[in-house]
Amino acid sequence: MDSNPWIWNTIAAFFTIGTFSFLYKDNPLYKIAESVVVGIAAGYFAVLLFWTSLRPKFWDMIVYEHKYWYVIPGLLGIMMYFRFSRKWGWLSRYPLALYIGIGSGIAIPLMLQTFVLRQLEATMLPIGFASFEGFSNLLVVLMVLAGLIYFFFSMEHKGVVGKTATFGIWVIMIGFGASFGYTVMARVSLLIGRIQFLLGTWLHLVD
Amino acid sequence: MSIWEKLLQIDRRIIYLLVFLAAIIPFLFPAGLEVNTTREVQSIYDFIENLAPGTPILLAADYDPQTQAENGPQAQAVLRHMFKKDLRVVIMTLSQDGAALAEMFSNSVAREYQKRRWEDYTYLGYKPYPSIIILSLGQDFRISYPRDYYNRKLDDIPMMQDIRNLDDVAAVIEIGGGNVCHMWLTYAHERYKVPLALGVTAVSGPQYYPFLQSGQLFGLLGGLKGAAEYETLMDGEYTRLDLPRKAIQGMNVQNFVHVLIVILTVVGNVAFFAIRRRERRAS
Amino acid sequence: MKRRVPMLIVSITGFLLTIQYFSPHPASEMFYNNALDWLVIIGIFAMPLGIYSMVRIQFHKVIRRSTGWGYSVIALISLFTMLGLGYTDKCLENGTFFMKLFEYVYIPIQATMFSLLAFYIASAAYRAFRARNLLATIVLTSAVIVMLGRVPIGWAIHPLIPWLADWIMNNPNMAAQRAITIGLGLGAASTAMKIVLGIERSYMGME
Repeated sequence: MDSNPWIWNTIAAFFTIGTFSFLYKDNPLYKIAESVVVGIAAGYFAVLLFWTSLRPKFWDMIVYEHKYWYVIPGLLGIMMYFRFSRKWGWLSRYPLALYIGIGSGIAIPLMLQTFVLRQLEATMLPIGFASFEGFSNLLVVLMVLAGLIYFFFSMEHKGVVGKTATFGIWVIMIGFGASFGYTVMARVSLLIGRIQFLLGTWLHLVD
Repeated sequence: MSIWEKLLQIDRRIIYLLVFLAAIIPFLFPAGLEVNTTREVQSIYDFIENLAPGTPILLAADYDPQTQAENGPQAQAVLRHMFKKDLRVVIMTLSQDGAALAEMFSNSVAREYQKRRWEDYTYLGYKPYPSIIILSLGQDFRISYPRDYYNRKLDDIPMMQDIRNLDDVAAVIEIGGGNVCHMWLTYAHERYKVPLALGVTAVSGPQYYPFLQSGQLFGLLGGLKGAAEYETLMDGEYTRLDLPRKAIQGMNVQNFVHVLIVILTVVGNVAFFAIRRRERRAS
Repeated sequence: MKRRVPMLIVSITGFLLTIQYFSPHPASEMFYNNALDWLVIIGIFAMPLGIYSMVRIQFHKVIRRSTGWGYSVIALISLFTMLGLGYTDKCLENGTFFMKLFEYVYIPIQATMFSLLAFYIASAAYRAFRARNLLATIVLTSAVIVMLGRVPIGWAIHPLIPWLADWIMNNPNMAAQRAITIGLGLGAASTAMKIVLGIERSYMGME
């Protein structure tokens, strides 16, 4: 069994069809598949974490490389588990504080740079009516501005602001439509993957 | 009950059956339509094509089984191109379930090109907390990965001798879906200025167009279509190695299901308006 | 000790790491490297928290004989099977029984569960995707153009369809996403600032 791919593929097909059976109605086979997934995911992750993270990054560092100060972050990590204790729960705030503090400190300049400044800079496009590209660029500038105004709630959406916000929501709706189209594409791709497995890898009906 | 009302109230399982048929029939009778390439895919291809042999490059395969159908063909096509160009490839993952997937596909593609582990490519494996790991790669790969997936010290790996941090790789090609792509943008590209291209699921594809236009990304593979485009660009290689073009095959099916969904939408709307008109007339 | 010290840690580390972004001084680099090193270790220790939580829930279900406790037994058997098979680091290499369970049981179930969405989205398109008003019509039109324009059949119908889909993606969609991105960036940076300044404390279970 260990080396026979057909048996393994049949097991995979059994679970695939079992999961598809949910489309007809909820049933024990689907629930079994669901439970197996939960167990395997947790077991796999524990093993992966132990062998590829805990051992090389903590154990080996202390035992073989004699970096004894690694015990401190290790203890801080263990302190997270005090979350489950009512009496000692506050101890878990220390490693959390370190995490959130460092994470926030790093994020402030980078978030502004990535999502605000670079985006605003890229909106400053060469505009004009001489070419279609120039006209498209003009539209982009107007559409970004309108979209931003739609999200700006410190001013009442009336008059010019209201009209711009209305244009903004149209633009956002075009974006949502595109996202819906892409979502359909994504979901269908996932189905294609499973059919490819059933008809190709398992039954060899297609390449 | 009118025909339109009956039509709107059909059992959902009939629709499921139609989708199932639309997904199976094109596999058995492929239409063979041509896949056209977009600028955003072509630019990734051109970037890799113009790299000199031996150049280090980082492939982050941050996807899991849920999106493997989309991201898997992307990662394979890109890795094949990297191996074809004899680049030195560092592979890693920030997705826990992706660790096994990356191990499988990297070794199988390496076998196709007879590439040697640790000399032509290195698989670093998985580490938790993506943002911190990405930041540490910018300083030194050894902070997060003192050893690779197979427990070999990075300092003992021949191809890693002159690769210390993100400054030493020509680019990062990130294949994944969701938040981790934003993290690569913020913590790798913006912080360390490493050129970045993404291979994303179609669901998250539209949200990366602003970064493409701003030049923060030099390329974008969107979903299975992106993978199909890359397979088209690598057509000669797929023929030479007699490899299945999974993404192109998938696009044949995608055609049918998309058309079916458009038809369902149109029928649903026609029925909806027919009922509404009748109700208005009646009142 | 229980609240002020963690908050102080957040503010000090957050402040230092924000400044560090602008300072290439070797001392600042050393601090940054060590901070990252520590966080990697804390993170490794904190990750099993989720696994522990899952095991606790499943055990409780079995002990209390809650509805569907049999499925919890399956989840626990799957978990301990994986843990048992993961006794050596070699288990993580391709071809082992451990990896085969992952490849032929876990992957098919997970992938199939997500592929079910293809059926649901088709059903939703039929039942709910209506051109009820102007905004809904915009979403629908944009979605249909993108859906057809992004697959080869779009070219076969008319070359204008893929051209239009491409234009939508690179112009209105890009503009809409940019407006959302800028809002997101401002929101994320201001939340991080509020955390560092001690205004936002909900992450520590404080108001």
